[in-house]
Amino acid sequence: MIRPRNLPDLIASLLCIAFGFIVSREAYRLESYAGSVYVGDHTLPFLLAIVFVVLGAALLFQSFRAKIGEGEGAAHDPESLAGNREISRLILCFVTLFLYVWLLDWFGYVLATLLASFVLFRLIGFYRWLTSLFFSILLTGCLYVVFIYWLQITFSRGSFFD
Amino acid sequence: MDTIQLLMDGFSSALSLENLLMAAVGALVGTFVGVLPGLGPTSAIAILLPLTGVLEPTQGIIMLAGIYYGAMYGGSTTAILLNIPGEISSVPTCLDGYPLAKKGKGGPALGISAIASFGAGVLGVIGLVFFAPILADQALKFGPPEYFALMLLALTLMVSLSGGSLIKSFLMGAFGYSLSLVGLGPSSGMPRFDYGVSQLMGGFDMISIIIGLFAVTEVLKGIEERRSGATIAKTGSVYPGKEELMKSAAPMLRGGLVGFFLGLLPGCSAAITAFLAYDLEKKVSKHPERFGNGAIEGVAAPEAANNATSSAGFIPLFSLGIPSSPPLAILLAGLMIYGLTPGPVLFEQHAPFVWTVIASMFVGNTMLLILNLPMVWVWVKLTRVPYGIMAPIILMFCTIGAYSVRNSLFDVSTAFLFGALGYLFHKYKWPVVPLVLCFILGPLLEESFIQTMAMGAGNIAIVWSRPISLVILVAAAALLVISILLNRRTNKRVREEQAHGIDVAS
Repeated sequence: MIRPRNLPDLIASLLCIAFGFIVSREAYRLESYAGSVYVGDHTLPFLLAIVFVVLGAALLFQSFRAKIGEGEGAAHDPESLAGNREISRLILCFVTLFLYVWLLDWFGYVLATLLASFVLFRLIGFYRWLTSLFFSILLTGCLYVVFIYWLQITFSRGSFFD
Repeated sequence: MDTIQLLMDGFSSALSLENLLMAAVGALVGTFVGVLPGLGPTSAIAILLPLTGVLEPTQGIIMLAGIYYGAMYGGSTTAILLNIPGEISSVPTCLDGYPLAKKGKGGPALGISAIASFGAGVLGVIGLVFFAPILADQALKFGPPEYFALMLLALTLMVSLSGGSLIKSFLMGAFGYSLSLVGLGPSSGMPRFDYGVSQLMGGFDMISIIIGLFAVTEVLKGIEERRSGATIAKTGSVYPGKEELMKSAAPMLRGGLVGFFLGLLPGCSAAITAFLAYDLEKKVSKHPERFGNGAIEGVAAPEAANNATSSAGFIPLFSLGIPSSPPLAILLAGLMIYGLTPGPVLFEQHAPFVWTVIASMFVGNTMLLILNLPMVWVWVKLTRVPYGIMAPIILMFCTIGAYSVRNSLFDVSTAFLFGALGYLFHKYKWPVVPLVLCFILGPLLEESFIQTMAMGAGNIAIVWSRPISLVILVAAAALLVISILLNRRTNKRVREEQAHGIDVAS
């Protein structure tokens, strides 16, 4: 069995081909609303679907031909590869950011920012609880003064307090 | 004569006390973010761009100009003082800038870099003043087929922005175009790619995507690399001496001319011209052995070329709507926030505003020279701020930036999602700039294509049957070949320098 020499590119190429089919399906749906077969909202999606499938196939082919160490080598490079701890921190940061968006809607800007920045100071800077709390209060206060009080950006006040 | 008058009007608008203050703040903040290790000018502009959105258009644009020049200068600062080029175009600057910094002459190198930037900026403004009336005259002859041909010309940029794999570059471009399709179709008014999600009917906001791909990704990269504050040796005085100025004058002029004239070609990036200028200087030098060991000419020439290309890039940006470098692509997005769509009719439709922008570029550059340069020690100290403090602050700025454009939490989620995607793209070497470029140009491409097909009664041949669009298509083909050749040369040089231990951060 022929084995791919660049697994990330292989996966990406399959995703591109799949994406091409999704785009072509949308193009097909839009074609029914168009006055002409050639011109309408479906034309560019149709062309893009072809690009995705053709170039995705080319990348798929290339992923089997790539020299050992190319592409995948980057992922195996000890300097570029994050350790398990860093990956966990990255995932936690990412989760915190999405929770922050949810909290913004729920608790409003001030409280959500205070909570999210506190977690981020702990996660990224490894600061102690009290130091993180101090930094998060300072940051939230500064952001409130500049953006809400001075520049008057309207943020959600939070549905929890309504 | 009209052009000079318009430029003077632009200056009178840009030079009011309030606007000067905005330029100063922009230059300072831009330098601060640009100087942070690992954050190149593109990321710096992406982070700060939304903050200008809360200002009035003129003030916002002026601050943006300050941020642009400040971030570019900040990028050079890290290249010289830390041997970390924020972008590939700063690699040649590292070659002699860092050895100079190690000898305690980082200050004069920074001074020469700022003077070269100023000179190149002036050259760019003069070029715009010269080219603008010609382009404005041609503007009325542009119809949909010409615009469509222009969009095809922009595709040649994919080569210079590819970062290695052309297939990946074109796929990312296609992804960018696909993202731009989300929302209401221009022809039928029917929602596309919305899948029943109401927020998707309004389409993706370009600022959220830019913030995600550049700023959030940068923070995630920093967490992975466990970045810390930087330690920089003493820089010495930033004012170059007479001898250094004498040595740098000719290289600056040569580098500036190489950068400016090649920078007029869309697809010719600052990285190409910076390397060409460095190699040219080495060739004409009587002591080429000094290069790589701290020759001030080795800083002056590529910096002048880099900045002259960036300044010259404003000409294809304003006149054709084609950004020739990543920071200019972000700047294009910034101009579009203020309702300015760069292209042939820009000078016709928004002349006063455009000339204010041009004048503000000059003001931003001057601010950099007179205000920023003496404060270099402040930036050096600020780079010592721990990353654990900077990263959450940057993320909070990203949130405000993404939210403030449409007051939408969906845009904030989009920014974070694209941040994660950007991190994966970076990890597996997929270039993100083609995505951003095609996302910005997507609606223009589609609109011009539909109108062209309508004009040609369904026949695309109309594009090459009209003289201007035919010339643009021929130019696109020629540029494609030139870009491929020059990029191969540049990639080879970058690999050579990476083998010598220079780490390109972007």
